[in-house]
Amino acid sequence: MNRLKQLKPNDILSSTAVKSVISLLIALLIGGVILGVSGYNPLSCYGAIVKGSLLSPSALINTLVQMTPLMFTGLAFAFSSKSGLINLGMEGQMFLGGLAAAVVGGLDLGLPMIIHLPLTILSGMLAGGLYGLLAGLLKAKFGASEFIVTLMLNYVATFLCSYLANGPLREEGSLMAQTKTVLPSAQLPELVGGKNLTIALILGILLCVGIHLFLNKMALGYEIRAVGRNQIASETAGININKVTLTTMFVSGAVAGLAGVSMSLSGNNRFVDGATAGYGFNGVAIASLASHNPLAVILSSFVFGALRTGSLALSMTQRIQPEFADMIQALVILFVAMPALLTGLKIRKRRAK
Amino acid sequence: MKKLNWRRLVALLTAVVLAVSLAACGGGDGGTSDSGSGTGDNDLKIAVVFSSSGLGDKNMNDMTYEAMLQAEEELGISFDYTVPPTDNDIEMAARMYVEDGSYDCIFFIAAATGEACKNLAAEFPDQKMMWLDGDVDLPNVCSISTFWPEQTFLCGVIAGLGTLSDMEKANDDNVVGCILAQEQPFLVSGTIGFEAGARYVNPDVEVLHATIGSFTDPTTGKEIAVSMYEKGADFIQHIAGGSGLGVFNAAVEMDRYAFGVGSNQNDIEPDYIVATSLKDVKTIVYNQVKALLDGTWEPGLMTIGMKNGGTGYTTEGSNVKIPDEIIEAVEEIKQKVIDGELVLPSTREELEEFLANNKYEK
Repeated sequence: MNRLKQLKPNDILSSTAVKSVISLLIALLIGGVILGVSGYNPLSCYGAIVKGSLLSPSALINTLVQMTPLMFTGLAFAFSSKSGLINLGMEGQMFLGGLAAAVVGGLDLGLPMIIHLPLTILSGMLAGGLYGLLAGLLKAKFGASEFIVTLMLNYVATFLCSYLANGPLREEGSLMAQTKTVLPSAQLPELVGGKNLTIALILGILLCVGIHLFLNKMALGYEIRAVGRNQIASETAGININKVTLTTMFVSGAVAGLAGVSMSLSGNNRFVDGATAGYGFNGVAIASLASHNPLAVILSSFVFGALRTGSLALSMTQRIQPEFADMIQALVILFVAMPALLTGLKIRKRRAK
Repeated sequence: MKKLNWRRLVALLTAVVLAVSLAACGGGDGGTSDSGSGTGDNDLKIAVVFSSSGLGDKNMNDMTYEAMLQAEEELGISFDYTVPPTDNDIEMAARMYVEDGSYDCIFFIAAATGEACKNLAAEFPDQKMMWLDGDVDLPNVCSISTFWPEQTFLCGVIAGLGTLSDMEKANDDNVVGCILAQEQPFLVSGTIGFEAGARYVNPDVEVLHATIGSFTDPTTGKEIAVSMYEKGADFIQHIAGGSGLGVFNAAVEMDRYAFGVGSNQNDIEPDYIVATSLKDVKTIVYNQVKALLDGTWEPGLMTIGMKNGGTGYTTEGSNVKIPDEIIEAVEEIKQKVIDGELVLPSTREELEEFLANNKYEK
């Protein structure tokens, strides 16, 4: 209680957690205004979103299902941001990870699950990781902007996957451009039967914690953060910038690849061309809301998972399209990316002094 | 002073909250039908699950939506629909409807929704379902597929005769084209139908084929169409949903002809679209609703073709003048298909066989 009293309003405002929450609230408020102007009752809409995403066991499960890939892509973006790199290639890394997992998972090697499943997961991570590494290499060797390179590589990856799913890897006689289903020995075990909720959720939470510890407790993690804070000072201090760049991009890509893996090895247990489009880019919003904190990614992916599920549920009975969730996401990014809005309040306060 | 600023912030937020509530009240009147459902005169309630391509495709999805609106108005049923943000969410969305338990029938629209339909139909055998443009044999599913060659054949005939004719935008090259969204077997058979039509009446014509890879990418659709026109094609049939709108843009830019597909698309570019390979999804869906209402609805496999009037061609709404002798020839050939004199091919092997066995005589 004493500590709380000592906290000055300015401290509270500058706390990143509060900043995120305020951004989310403002985004929700504006979303509500837009709903209201469009002739809907915002309160009943938000009520339907909460009900459809949290208030029943199956709603909650749907939220957790949605949250799983979002957590991976959010973590991937948050991680790369720690070293000052912007990995916008999560979409492509996710596609490649998903396709690689579907291919390796579909190989009938007679392996038991305890070997086949990890092998499949690793192949997806490797595919995403190597693709991230490609952008890292271009950055380290030629100084190419990873921002542009990763963004453009998304097209290469998604079109490549589309070609493979339409062509050589296509399931025979299928109506859709999709691979054949992976073997049972490579399918992620379900936490709840028949609901697509798999152990990937737990894996993701552990990974968030793991990356948090790695960044804060290990030397390489420290180096990554140091480079993110001040590259020139870090270089002077003897940190190998290229090593940090390559490591960051590889790990970030591998984590984004896991998003694809989690979707290819659950549900229909296959890679379907284009079916997961958008989850990669959503990672940016997740990470922004989490202020690039790996632990907070768990919470923020839950929020966005609930928003996605809730808006889908909302669209089922009210003629509001699920793009509403995208709009809220965009607003959140807008406000999180507008620190000036909150610092502005601070400056005025100082002047008032 | 500090406190004052806090108050200001709180006041600001309160103001926004009030504004929202006001907006809520304002919206209240318009929002009496807020629930979107339950407005009907009878108890029939239907849920429609689209694929992520969504509304605005000027095609199957839009036609389904129109049919549902018409049924809502004329038959007094109520319906809800959803467009999942990605195809990965289709099953979750459909499951929400099924688990809700209040829907008499769930309509699945487009091939991408098929897997969800199959899974849920097996899991919930008491829930009636309808899948449009697919074939699945389950006791609670009415699965409607199109015999695509009969949809595109007649426009193929127009193209085959048109490219030789002195129509205004036709060139000297004996080349026509067909652009596909994705290599789905049904759609591929549509390209075969088009080629069959063109080569049946014009054995030497070269039919170009290309695939866009997406139903929602008009930009790529346009690029492909432009390159086809540059290769000498003067008529292009698209089977590409929303991507097909790009083909029409290309037709305008290159001053050539195109064919619509699905619902009558002629009025999109009436000076360039010669005709549409029609599929009357609207009537099909409407009749499904009606059958549910009358209690005559039955699960099973249904095929739409020329014989039951589900497919055909239309020039209505187009300003392009097709020579009378071409229209006469098309009508004659159409009758032959309906009479069963011509059995259309749906694969490449069948196509060659069809062309070898059926010679067109003027």
